[in-house]
Amino acid sequence: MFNLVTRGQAVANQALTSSVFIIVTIVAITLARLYQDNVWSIDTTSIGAISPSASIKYSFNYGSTNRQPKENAKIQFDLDADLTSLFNWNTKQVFVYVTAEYPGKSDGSSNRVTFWDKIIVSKEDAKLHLVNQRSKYSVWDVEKSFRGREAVVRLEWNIQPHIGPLIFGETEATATFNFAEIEKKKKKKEQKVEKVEPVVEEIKEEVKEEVKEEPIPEPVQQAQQAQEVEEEPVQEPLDEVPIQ
Amino acid sequence: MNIRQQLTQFLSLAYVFTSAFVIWKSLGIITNSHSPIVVVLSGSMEPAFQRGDILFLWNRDQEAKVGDIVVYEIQGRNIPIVHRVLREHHNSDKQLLLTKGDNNAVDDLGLYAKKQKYLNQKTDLVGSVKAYLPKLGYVTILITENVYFKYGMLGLMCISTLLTNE
Repeated sequence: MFNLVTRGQAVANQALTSSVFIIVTIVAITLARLYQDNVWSIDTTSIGAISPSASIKYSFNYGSTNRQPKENAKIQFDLDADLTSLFNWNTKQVFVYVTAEYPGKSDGSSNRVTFWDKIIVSKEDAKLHLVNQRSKYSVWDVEKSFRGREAVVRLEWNIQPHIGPLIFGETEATATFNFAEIEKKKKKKEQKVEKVEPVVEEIKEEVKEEVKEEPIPEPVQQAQQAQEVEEEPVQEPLDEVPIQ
Repeated sequence: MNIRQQLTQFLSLAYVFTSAFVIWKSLGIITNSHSPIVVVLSGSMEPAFQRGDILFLWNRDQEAKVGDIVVYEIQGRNIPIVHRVLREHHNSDKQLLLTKGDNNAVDDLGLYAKKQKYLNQKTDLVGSVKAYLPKLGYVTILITENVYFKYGMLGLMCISTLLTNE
């Protein structure tokens, strides 16, 4: 009584059992290998020389709502890391990312943002040596501004395997910095530039040949006047951020 | 005699379907996710996740971490999206997430609903990716997108049932 269905079932059963067995073995070996290489405490890394900068943005793509000014932060940093131990025969790629963690307004609130990340697909590229690396992302907060809060920077990683579980970890290197605060002057300048842009272009065209590089002081003064009104620090609590 | 045989065959077929259904639903309860196993349909997480790969989800974490790969659904759209958490902001009872595909140049603001700026961890997530199987999900893509494959499979099943009846 071996008909097509029973044969098919037998083959399918066998295939399922053996593939489950194979996968479990692969995962076990991979994990054992990672523990052996001690990847959860990589101490050959260092982050430093963090210099933050800030700017004001008015676009939805930079976190602004209804053209309200939104502070955006960037950083530059140095990074040294040897992540070669994350690569073994079951590593498809390693995703490394530099995060900053800083407190929120109320108790129990906290924020973590990514400033920079990289996909590494081969062991040869796993040694990172970055100097004055600019952050990849312009970051904004749920509040209007970062208020100069202190942030802890970490280098974290994620191993994506050919098969099996995703594995996460972070290196032991940390650093701290305070978010840059926008001084009043800077703020005014930014505002200003948006408003008087057409004028600037006109002037440039007119005096193209004679004085190419001359800065234009006039608009700055104007801006200072216009700025006065715009000065209250609005900090919307997390709860009030609209979510559809 | 013949009817009895057919009835048992029908029963065993029903058994196969119900057990599959029960397994799927109990997986959903265990993982707290309405679809605990998903197939990748787009290339936005390449090279890690390609079309046809299978992802296993878990939705019982209280909070998502930055770097987690999550599957989320935007209200009004039925297609689940697999992307990585780029930022998280939380207080004691709420967490907001901004996501981005590894292979995409910009974050997901443009993919969210109009005026939506963050995902809500409690309501928008289908789950976060815990494990990965390559390529096997391509069968479901073939079935849903390739007419010849679909009817070929159906035909094969019919023929095999006819053969077993003899």
